[in-house]
Amino acid sequence: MSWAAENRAWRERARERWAPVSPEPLRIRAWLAAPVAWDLYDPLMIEGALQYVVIVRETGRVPDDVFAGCPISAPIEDTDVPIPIADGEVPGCPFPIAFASAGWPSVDAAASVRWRRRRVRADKLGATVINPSVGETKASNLPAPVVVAHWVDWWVIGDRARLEDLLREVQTIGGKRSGGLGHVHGWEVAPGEPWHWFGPGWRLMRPLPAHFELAQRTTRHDVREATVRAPYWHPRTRMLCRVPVQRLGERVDAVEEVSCVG
Amino acid sequence: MRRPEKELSRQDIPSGIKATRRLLAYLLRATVIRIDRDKIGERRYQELPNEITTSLVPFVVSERSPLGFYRAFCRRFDVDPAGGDSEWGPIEAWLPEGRIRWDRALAAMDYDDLRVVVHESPEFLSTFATDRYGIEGEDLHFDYFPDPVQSGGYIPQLPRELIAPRAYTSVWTLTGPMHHGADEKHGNVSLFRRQRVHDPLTGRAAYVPFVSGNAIRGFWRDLVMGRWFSLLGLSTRALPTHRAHALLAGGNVDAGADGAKVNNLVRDAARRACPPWDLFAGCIDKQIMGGRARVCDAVLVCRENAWLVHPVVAPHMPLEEFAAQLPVAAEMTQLRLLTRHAHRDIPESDGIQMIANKEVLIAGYQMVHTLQIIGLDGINPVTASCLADLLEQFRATGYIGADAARGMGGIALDGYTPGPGAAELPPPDLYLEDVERRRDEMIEWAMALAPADPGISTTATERPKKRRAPAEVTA
Repeated sequence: MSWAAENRAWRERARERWAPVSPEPLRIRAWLAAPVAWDLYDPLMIEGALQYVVIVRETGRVPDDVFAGCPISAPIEDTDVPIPIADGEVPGCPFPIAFASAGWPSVDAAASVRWRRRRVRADKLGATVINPSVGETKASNLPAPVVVAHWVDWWVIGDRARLEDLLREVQTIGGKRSGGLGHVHGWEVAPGEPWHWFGPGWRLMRPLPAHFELAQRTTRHDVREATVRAPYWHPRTRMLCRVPVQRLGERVDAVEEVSCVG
Repeated sequence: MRRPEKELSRQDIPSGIKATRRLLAYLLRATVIRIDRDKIGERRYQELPNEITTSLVPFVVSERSPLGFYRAFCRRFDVDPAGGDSEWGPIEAWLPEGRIRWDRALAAMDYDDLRVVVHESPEFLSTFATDRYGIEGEDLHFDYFPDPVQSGGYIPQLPRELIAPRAYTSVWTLTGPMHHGADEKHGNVSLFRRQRVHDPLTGRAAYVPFVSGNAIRGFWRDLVMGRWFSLLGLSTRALPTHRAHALLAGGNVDAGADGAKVNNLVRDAARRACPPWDLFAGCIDKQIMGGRARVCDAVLVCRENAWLVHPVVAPHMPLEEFAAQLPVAAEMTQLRLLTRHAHRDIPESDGIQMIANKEVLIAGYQMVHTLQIIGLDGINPVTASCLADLLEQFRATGYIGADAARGMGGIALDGYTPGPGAAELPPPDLYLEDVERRRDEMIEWAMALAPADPGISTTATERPKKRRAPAEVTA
């Protein structure tokens, strides 16, 4: 039996429970209790975190375990996890794209670094000699680029009640989550502007296919390879995109007069 | 450079981080000129930029005012700011628009701004200060630095009601001084780990001590695994090294593990056989696995963090009133001097006195710690019970941070309280009974040299040696 067949039941149940019923423009705000691991290159998206919770809610298992055995080449129809955010279609793009902007930190945001250390418990290992400077027992001290901010905002077209329900389980955002980074103090969901794809001043708010005519009119973006649907690490939806350029300390509604590169 | 004609007063100096950066840089330059090579010695004089760089942050941490900071700086480099040891009189900072005496310059500085400037880049200050004469037009360089992010003191409107993610919280009270090492070394001073924090009540940024969630997670992994091995009656040294390393430190991503087949049998077996592994996980048997526990940073109960800790520490008190009662973070640490006796009386001794300073959080202050569980409703009850047992152990152990052997890091806590929507954890008995009941199965898994799936080879700790062609035997 294929992975898709084995997992069809919970995915169908999830569709009933978590697909948006009455979508509306919303602003989701995560108040941060800790810096969020983010390098400002790839946008900080929210759909993955919501998918994570849906999987855990429906299966009781962590997504890594649930998707064990799922071939990387599996089509999106067999693996997509529904969340309470509506999707839109872009002509010529085979994938639905969520009506969800990238995350925008508060204007006080500043870049920083969090070091994460690990050392081998050498005296507890049975080997005669343990070398903590090389090989598999090497001690490490790894930097993670982080952003310190009061909050991160996303603009979405979504189902408010269902989103609020799921967000109770979204405890962290960004990368390196198991050790304190991205800790969310609390969530706010409020009616918002329809800035899910295009923001004030025709600003690009999330990665969209480069050939998309409306995206070509936007400001402040780079043209480069990116993915357009969660999980964003998956190469399945990788294509040439227009990706918003984000700068720490700027307001999302600060309208720029000069046109963008690309 | 000639002495400027105009004498500036405190009122001539603008306030703010940018002005403080500039004024401090010129004041340090004027001070460095007074450092006497003969007094501090040739070697120190040659390494002056490095010594200044490494000393600035400890000074700003250990002192409480601009005057104190400057006194510490002058004392270290044997400079008399009053000018008693020179013909030039009191030290003056020479700015392009005029000169200002050191005490007036310091009076124009806000210590919070000074802290930010020093933390921002001691290297810059040291470079500027030791570049004795500078170049023409260099003052313009100060304008090139971007405006401080919070030059206007950004004050957000705090929400009235938040959707709080489900979590467990605990208030730690420090029963002794606590140290948790910073990311950078500053000479012989080990500072407390800090991170930038924005205070939403004032709009100002501050560097606030914290204990990293990753460090707590590592300590908890030691505790919970040590307990599990103890319950099983196993010595970690009896285990295959590779496996012991995975259980005690999370293992490492072996060659091929990131692209290896994901094996549900192996993963399920690990989670089932070892509840502590289900909590913290890592990479084992070529399977990269995520743990159930998310261990957050421990947050200091200080004025800058008031809005974060308020719901846990004083939920019924108005936030502003609560914040006003708390000290600012910069006042909550002190330097502790550690020495090692020189033992010059012993013939073989090198006779060197070792002196080190550690910055510690002062006993009596509090921290708030948060723990989260992924998929709280669907978690294996034995894993949840194991977590309850771990929290009991942690409470009984009663310390965190570095130098526990010297009596540091003592904490007292009442346990972890479930937040809104989070259920009480099951009692530890469930886990203890499970270990007792499935002891043989657990030992077998822990001692296993190969995973359940024979298709995945994981236990080799050394790469197989390349075979050489047998040497020809000649008669």
